[in-house]
Amino acid sequence: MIFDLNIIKTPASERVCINIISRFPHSFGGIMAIIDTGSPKTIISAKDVYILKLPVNNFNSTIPIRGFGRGVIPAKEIEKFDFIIKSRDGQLKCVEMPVNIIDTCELNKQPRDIQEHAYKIESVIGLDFLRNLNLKLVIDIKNNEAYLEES
Amino acid sequence: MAPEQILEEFEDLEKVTSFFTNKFTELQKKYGGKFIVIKDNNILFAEDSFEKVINNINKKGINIKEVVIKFIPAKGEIILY
Repeated sequence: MIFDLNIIKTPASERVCINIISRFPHSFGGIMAIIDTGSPKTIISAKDVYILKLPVNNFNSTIPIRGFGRGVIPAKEIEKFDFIIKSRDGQLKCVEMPVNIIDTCELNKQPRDIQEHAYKIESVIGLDFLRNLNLKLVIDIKNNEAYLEES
Repeated sequence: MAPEQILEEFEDLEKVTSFFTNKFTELQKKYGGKFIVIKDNNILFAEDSFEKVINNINKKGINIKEVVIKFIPAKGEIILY
């Protein structure tokens, strides 16, 4: 099965993104996440935590995240985050895997500049996603093609 | 959650992604350094902080799940992940 990725071109660079739909209870909704092979973990951003109304207080704290905005950002872990991706031929694949989420309750106690910066960052799909789903990542920038393939 | 509802949500996301990709340069010129709120490929408004976006959404009675909120980096600014 192949899952197409979106290449968003900006004047000086490109971003490779994937659309996912959260079907976590009471937190249904779409996320435009960035494929980040530099991140070992998949992280749901502060903005998406807020929009999806993920109940941060229900989850356990995990190692704070450095490099996701300014300073060290408090995080929690959802052991089984339930979401869906769509294949090239329109099939829906349900996925359940652990993800980190930004602890927006704690973040909102941080200095304003740290908060503001953190809300600018998009959710990222890390290498754990590829490992959990046994996916191969193919990016051909020159030919404007990017996709995930089940291996 | 019905598969039709999920496919509809994917369709909406794909429309926004396409809009965002095709219009990025134009959006950056106009809204660089701001958050924009998009609905049906229209920019509803732009604000310079997420807090102001939320205040405005609440004030206007907009359902947050029916819009897409994106931060547009200013020209010459690159966000590293």
